[in-house]
Amino acid sequence: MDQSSHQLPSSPGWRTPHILLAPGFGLFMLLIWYLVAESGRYASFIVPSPERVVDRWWEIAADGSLLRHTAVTLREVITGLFIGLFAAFGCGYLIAKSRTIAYTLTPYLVALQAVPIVAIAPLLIIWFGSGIVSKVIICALLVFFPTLINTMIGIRNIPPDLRDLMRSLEANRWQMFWQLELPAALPFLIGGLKVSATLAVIGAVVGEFVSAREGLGYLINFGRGTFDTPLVIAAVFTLTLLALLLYGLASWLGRILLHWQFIGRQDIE
Amino acid sequence: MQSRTPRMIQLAAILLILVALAVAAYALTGRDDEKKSPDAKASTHVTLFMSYIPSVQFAPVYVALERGYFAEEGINLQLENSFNEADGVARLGSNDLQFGLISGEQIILGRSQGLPLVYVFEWYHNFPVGIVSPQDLNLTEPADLEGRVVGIPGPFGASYMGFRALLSAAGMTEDDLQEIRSIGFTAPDNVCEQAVEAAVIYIANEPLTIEQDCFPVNVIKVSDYITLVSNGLVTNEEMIRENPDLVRGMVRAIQRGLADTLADPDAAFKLTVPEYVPELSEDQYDTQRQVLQNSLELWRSDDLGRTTPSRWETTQTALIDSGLMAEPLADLSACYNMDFLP
Repeated sequence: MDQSSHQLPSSPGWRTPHILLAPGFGLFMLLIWYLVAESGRYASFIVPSPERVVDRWWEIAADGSLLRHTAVTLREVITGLFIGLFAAFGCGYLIAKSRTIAYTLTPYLVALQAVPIVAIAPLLIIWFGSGIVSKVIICALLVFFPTLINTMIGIRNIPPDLRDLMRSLEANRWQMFWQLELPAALPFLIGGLKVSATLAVIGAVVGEFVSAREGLGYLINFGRGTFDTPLVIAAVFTLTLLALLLYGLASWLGRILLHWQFIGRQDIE
Repeated sequence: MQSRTPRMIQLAAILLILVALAVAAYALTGRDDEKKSPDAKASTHVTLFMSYIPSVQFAPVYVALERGYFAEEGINLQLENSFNEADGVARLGSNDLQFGLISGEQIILGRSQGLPLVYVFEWYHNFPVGIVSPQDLNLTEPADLEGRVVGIPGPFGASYMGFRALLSAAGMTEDDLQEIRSIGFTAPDNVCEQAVEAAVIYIANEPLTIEQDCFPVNVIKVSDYITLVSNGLVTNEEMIRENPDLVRGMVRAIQRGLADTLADPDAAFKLTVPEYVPELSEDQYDTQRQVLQNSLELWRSDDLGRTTPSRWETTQTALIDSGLMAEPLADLSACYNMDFLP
């Protein structure tokens, strides 16, 4: 498989400015935000200044409430992510292996994906209560489809020659799965995992928007209700950090499990 | 090329981080959310649904909890806050939930859909909705809205019904306005930015925000022109039939909390806000104290908790006029039951 065509330029001359691009853009946006807030054009509950947001973030971090609300959301995200991933991988594998199952389930799974989660979230709260279960289900539903599709593509894209090779070596079903199908599908699974990690965070917040007494989604709702916009933005930033953390872990996992994809690049570098 | 061992170490590190995150998340959230009643004899577990975030606007409930009024009635109360009132109404109707502080018109709408809801205690005596506008527009009565752009959350709920009833009471219709714009729950933002000339709001808190951050405002209160049913303590027919003592206990505890809050709002504020609304920053306390003051005007009544048949008649008519309901209920008096008031 030719991986080099997917890689970004990575010559030493590129690297330094490339590293500075993202922080530089962030600082530029921060400056724009600061200037807009300081212009006095908008009321402070519409566009608060960055300092007010940082102060509020620090305030809730210092009194422990940020940690508590983040922990609630993290619990929902991790549980929903794992349930969604395992369910989607199982379903995706079965659909990829069996035409009967594919014909039976695919229309329903596509229909499920087409339903806006914000429309069914209130129903899930009614059916499963306002506790963690409904939020976990919402996370799992959001995570399910991208993982399912990536699993199906990964398993179906295995070259027939490799399957023939495994059969000629008299590999049993488990060996076929563990030594061929899983490694071959891994690049797609990691791609799905990266998307799912951020979707799970969105799922938890959607659930908390509908009904919750704790969690970062609740904190955003509370901030809106009390016109405490710095609190809203502080909670949104924390959510973003949470999503970045999970995305970073998924990327790291990808680099380790797909190390063979990076061998060529490391040799060049 | 990486050797196998460093990769295994990295894998173990990722696993460790994930496990640590999961353990920390579960450990930090493992606390008991229920507010423990000071009186240990409390035994019946009751969840009270409240259709808004934790707020000083629920101070009477917090006072009743803090002073043990629920515990004295044998009630171990848990609070559930939600923006999704329809969820609470549905669960009350199916007896998945036994009590809620719900908008009055939802009882009529719910019963028209076959939900056996019953209003047992009037929470707000005065309808909490009004129309806010910049003071310099000089919109002081409903007739002044003619030809104006007015923002509403949407064509649903207590605010829309109150707005339609206000127009109707003034002999106006929606056609008399230049435009009615659905703006969601962003009235202060839209009024401050003058994206609308006036907006339908909850009078306890939203005008205050605009005045603090933007400019002085006028508020046309719906309750000055028409008497509608406001929010109340709602249960269902099964609870009334099977457990009337519990209903009586809930009514009595909330009435005591309400009376205490009206008698000494400062004490109520100090007693409840740090404990029940911990996310408030201290620099918001003055504003929230004013919100409580505005709420007192909504609660104040000569006969705390009692609603009257005429309010229900007026509200039903407003719902039908607003197009939120097709025809009147066969028995409007089944919507409320004042037998549980002390």
